[in-house]
Amino acid sequence: MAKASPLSEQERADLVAYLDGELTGEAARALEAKLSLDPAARAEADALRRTWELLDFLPQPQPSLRFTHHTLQRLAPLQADEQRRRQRWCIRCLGLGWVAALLFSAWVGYVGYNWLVPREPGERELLQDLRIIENKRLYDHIEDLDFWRALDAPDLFGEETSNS
Amino acid sequence: MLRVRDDDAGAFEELVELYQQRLVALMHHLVGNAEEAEDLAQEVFLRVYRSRKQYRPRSKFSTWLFTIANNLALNALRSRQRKPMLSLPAQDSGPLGPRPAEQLVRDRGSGPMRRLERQELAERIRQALEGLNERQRMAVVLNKFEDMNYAEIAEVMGLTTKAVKSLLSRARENLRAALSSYIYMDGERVPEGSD
Amino acid sequence: MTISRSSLLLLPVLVFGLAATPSEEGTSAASDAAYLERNRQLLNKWKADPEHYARLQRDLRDFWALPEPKRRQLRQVDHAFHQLNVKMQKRLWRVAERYVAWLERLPEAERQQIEKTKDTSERLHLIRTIRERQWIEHLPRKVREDLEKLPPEARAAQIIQLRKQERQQRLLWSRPPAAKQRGK
Repeated sequence: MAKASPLSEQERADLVAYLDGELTGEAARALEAKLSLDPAARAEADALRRTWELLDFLPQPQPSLRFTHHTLQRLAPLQADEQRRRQRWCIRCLGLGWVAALLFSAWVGYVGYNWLVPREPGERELLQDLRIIENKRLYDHIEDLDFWRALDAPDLFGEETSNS
Repeated sequence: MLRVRDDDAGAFEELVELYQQRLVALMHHLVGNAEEAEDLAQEVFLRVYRSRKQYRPRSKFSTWLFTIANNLALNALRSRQRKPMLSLPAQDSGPLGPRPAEQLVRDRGSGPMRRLERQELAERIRQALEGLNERQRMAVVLNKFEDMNYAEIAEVMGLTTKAVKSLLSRARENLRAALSSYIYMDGERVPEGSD
Repeated sequence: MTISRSSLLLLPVLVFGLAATPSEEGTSAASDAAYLERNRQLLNKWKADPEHYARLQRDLRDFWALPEPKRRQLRQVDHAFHQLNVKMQKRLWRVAERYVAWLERLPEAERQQIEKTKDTSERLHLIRTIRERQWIEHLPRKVREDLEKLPPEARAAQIIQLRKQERQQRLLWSRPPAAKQRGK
């Protein structure tokens, strides 16, 4: 059989992206057309796919049982150092106490006013929580991630059923 | 992570428990050594702790975590002298050393034999992965084992998506060349048009 | 370290600045310019659709009408969800859409019963009970009648068996033709 021309570097990059589901639109269609016509390209796609699947044979290493303990042990000197720095800072802050008390009273008055006279949410609030508001219909019924994950069961909503 | 940032007692330990397996696995795939992998993973957590006050949840925490891991791992790979670790002593592979791919196909006998051939195959694959340069290896591990898409890998590695695409393409071509003897081990006929 | 007069004078500015910003948890993300900019771009796109924008405004008012702990809870769920890997997010998103679509179609009494059940495991048990009843109702009549004749333990075992068969069939029939399959 006559050997088709090898893939160029760009074509190979497109092919890998295609196998990874990262190639879309016109580029994906062009590649699919090439794959349908070119047996060498198809063979390369198959070889790349199989090579990728071979990586599944690598064992997934687990951390040792004492990993967390050792990590926390290494953390202890850091925390001690921070504690010492905090204590030094606290002593300096005592001198500002009277200023803070005065300003705090003013702040309580300001916040209290805001609380008593709430303002309507506007564009700023919408921007802050856009993702949640856009999906509020779903989030209203899902209170935590554990519950959400539990819904992902075959007898619940984990797969499409005829009565879903 | 927000709780760690706010110095919530126990939050850091929970974080370590939650992410240790992924980090240790990542480091192990990169450096090939369990002890070093754990050491590097611990270092990542310490860096997370040190910079916790600067943490802003603008994107996924795991992206931030793996960005730190990426920087640490690449520095370690560039600066340390590593000796390849073999998972099997040479004599377990037979009198002539590691068995050729064809033999790995034919020896489909009892359980222990299958375990052996899987171990040998895993070792070949690990060596092929080690044959990649550091950035190619990191991109492969993030894509394959962390299931990151190109945009996420780009964010972790500080690259453009186009650069990640190119990196993964070269990496996978290199892996294909290194593992070409093993990809048709199930006896399936080599498709027409291939080498 | 000495405290200068200018630092003291800056303090009132800082305090009033703090008072002017919302005091809710999770708003540190809002201070991130890139995050807000992305949201701004999305919002500008959605403003072009009056119906969509009106719905956002309504939901915004409803969201801010919620008690502060509830708002915080929704932000926490959203944040935790977006820490998951993309594949899991897509999967769970489909789960959520199926769940909420199902919930919205339930008779009022059953939906309220679910929503009023605060304990998560009790709520899951209730959802599961209703789902099983609905699943049995959709079985062919003969199969349903045979099930009803069985004693409780045998009935439960048979339901498991029937569910397994249904899943296997669904997997087999939904598999795309080999020529069109993509692989990694």
